[in-house]
Amino acid sequence: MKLRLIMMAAVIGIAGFMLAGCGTDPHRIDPSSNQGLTTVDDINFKDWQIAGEKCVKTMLDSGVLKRNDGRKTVIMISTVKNSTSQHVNTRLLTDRIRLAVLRSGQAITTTAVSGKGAEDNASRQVRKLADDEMFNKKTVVKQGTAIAPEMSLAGEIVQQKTKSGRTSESYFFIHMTLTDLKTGLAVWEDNVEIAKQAKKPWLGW
Amino acid sequence: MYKSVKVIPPLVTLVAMVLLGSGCSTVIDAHQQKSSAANNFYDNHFDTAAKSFGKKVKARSGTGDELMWCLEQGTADFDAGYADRSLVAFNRADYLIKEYDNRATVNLRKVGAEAGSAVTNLNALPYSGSILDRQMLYAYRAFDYLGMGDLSGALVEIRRMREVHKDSKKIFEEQIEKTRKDIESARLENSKQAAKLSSQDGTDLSFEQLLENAKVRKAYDSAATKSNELYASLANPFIAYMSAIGYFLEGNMEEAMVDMRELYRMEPDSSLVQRNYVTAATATGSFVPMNLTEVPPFRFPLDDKVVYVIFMNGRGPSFKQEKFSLVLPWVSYIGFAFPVGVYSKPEWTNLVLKYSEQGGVNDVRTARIADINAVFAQEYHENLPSMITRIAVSTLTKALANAVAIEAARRQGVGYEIAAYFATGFYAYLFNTADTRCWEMLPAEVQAAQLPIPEDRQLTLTTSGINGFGQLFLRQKGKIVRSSKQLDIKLQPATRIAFIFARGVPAGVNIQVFEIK
Repeated sequence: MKLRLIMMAAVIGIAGFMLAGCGTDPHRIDPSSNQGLTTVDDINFKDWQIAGEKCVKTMLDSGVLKRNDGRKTVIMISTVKNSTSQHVNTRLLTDRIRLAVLRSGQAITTTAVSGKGAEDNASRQVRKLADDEMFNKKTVVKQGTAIAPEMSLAGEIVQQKTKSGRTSESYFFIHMTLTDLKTGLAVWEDNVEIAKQAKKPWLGW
Repeated sequence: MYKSVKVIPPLVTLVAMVLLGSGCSTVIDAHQQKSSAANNFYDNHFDTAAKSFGKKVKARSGTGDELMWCLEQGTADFDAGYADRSLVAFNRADYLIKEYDNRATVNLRKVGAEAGSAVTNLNALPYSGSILDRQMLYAYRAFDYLGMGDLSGALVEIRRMREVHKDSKKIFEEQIEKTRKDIESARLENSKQAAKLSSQDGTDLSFEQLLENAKVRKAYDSAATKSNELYASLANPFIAYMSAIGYFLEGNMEEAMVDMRELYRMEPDSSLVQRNYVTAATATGSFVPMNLTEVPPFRFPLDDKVVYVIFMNGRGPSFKQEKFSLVLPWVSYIGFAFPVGVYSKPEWTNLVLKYSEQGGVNDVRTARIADINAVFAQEYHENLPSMITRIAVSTLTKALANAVAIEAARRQGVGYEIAAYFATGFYAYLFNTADTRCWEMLPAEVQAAQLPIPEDRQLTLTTSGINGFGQLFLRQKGKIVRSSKQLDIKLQPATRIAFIFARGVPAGVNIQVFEIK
C-alpha cells in the first residue's frame, strides 16, 4: 500500500513538473555574446550583427569612400529590398552600416533623402518657415543649401527554405551595393550568406 | 463488480479532461456552434459576427478548436474594415499552425489527444487547419497588410502563401500518412478487444464496406462532382493569381509567367486569366497558345497606376453533420457521424467598374479566377477515404469497449446489464459528433479585375444578381460610410496602386478601398 502511494505521488509529481514547465525569469543578455536565440525562419540579431560587420569591413577596406579633396563622401541610404518570407526591419542592417561609416570618418550620411523619402523631414520643413510670419526670415535656412548625396547604399535580402523529414533549413542571402550616383556604377558590392538548420525532436511535449 | 466500479472514476476524469482540453466540438459540432455568428456575417453584420467570433476565441483559447475560431474572427474583422484587428487574429492562427507543425514527432499532447479521441470522437484532436485554410490564411494576411497601407508587408505574406501552396501536396500526404498510422494502431487495439467477444464478425470496417452505405456514397460522389479535375494536386487558382499579382508589383514578369501558366491550366476559360497570360507572355517573349493569339495584352503597367479588384463572392463551403448506422453482429446497431460538404452558389454575377478614358467610358467586369467550392471539395474528396475509415475505426473502438463492458455487466446480473446498456448507449449518443471544423467565412468563389487608375481617378461600381442590381456598401473601420446601387469612388492624387476588396453576401456587396502611395 505504501509503495503504491509513493508511486502515485511520483507520477503526480512528474506530471506537475511537466505541466509547470521549467521556465526562467526574464534576464538581460550581452548583445555581443552568443546568448541570443537562434531560430531557423528569422534573421536574429546576431545575424544582423555578423552581416553588418562584414559589410562595413569590406566597404571601408575597399577604399571607395576615400577622397583626395579632403571632403567626405555623402551617402544616402536607399532601399534594402526584403524578398524573404519574414517581416524584417532592414534598418537593423543599414543603421549599423551608417554608424560604422560615420565613425570611420571616411563618409557622412544624409537624412534629407532616402529610398523611402526623407528619413528626417525637418530639412524640408524648416525651409517652409520662410513663409511663416512667426519666424525671423534671416534665421530660416535658405533654399539651395542642402548637400545632395554622391553615393547610395542599397541591397536585397533573399531567403530560400528547404524541409526534408524532420529537418528544416533557411538560407538567407544578403546582397549590398554602393552606387556612385554620378556615374550609376556600383563601386562596391558584397554578399553575406546565413544558413541555419534545425531538426524537429522525435520525442517531446 | 468491484473491478468495473474502479474503472469509472478514471474514465469520468479522462472524459472531463478531454472536454476541457478539446473545446465544445466533441459534443456539439462546430458548424452548429458557429451558426448564429455565421448568420450575422451573411446578414451583413460583420462587426457583430467579428465580436461573436472574438468571444469564442477567448473562450476556446488553449483548446484544440482555437485555430478555427481565430480564422473566422480574422475574416469577419477584415470584412468589417478592421485590418489591424484581423491581423491579430490571423497572427494567432499562424502561430497555432506553426506550433502544431513543429511539435515533436511523438509528443505527449498528441498521445493525450489520441487518448481523448478514443473515448470521445475526432473533435478531441486539435484542429490544425486544412490545406485550403493554410493557403487562404496568408492571402488574408496579405489583405490585412494592404489594409494598413503596407505593401512590402503584403508581399512578405504573398511569399509565405507561395511556400504553403508549393508544399500543399506534401503537407496533405503527411496528414494522410499520420491518419493511416492512427488507423493501423486503432485497428490493432480493436482486434485485441474483439478477441474478448464471442464473435469477431464485423469488428473491422474498410472504406469499400463503408462506401456501400448510401449516405457515404452520396457524400463521396457529390464531392467528386463538385471538385474541378483541373485543380489537381490541391492547387488553388486564387493563390496562383495572388502570387502573380505579387510578381507583377515587383516587376518580375518571368516568375509571374510561371504562375500564369499554372493559372491558365486551372482556369483556361477565365477572360482575366487569358489576358494576364498574354501580357506576361508578351513581356517575357514566351509562347502564346494558338487559342489566345486574338486575346490582347493589358496596355497599362501592372506595377504602377493600377487598380486590382478582388471580389469574394457568396457563402463559402462548410461541413454539416451526417449520421448513419450499421447493424453489426456483435452489437445491435452502431451510429457513425461524419462531415459532409455544404456548397452555396455565389450571390452576384460580377462587379462592374466604369471609368473615363480618352473621352469615352470604359467598363471592366470582374471575372472568376477561382472556385473555392471546388478547391474545398477536391480536398474533402481526397481526404474522405482515410477520414471516414478513421471515424469508423474510432467508433468501433468505443463500441467494442462498450460491448466488453456490457458482457462483463451481464455476468453480474440483469440489473447491471440494463444499467450498462443505458450508460454505454447514452455515452455513445453524446459523443457521436462529426468533426465539422473548417473555415466557413471564406467565399464560394473569387472574381478579380485589373484596370488602370483613370486620369480623373474616378470609378463607378455596380453589381447585379438574379434579382437585378444589388446594394453596394462602402466600409471604413467597421462602419458603412456610404450605401448605394451605384457607388462612386474617388482615388487620392498620390495613389500609385489601389486595391478594391469586395465581399458579396445576400444583402449586397461590401467595398473596401486600400490605396498605396
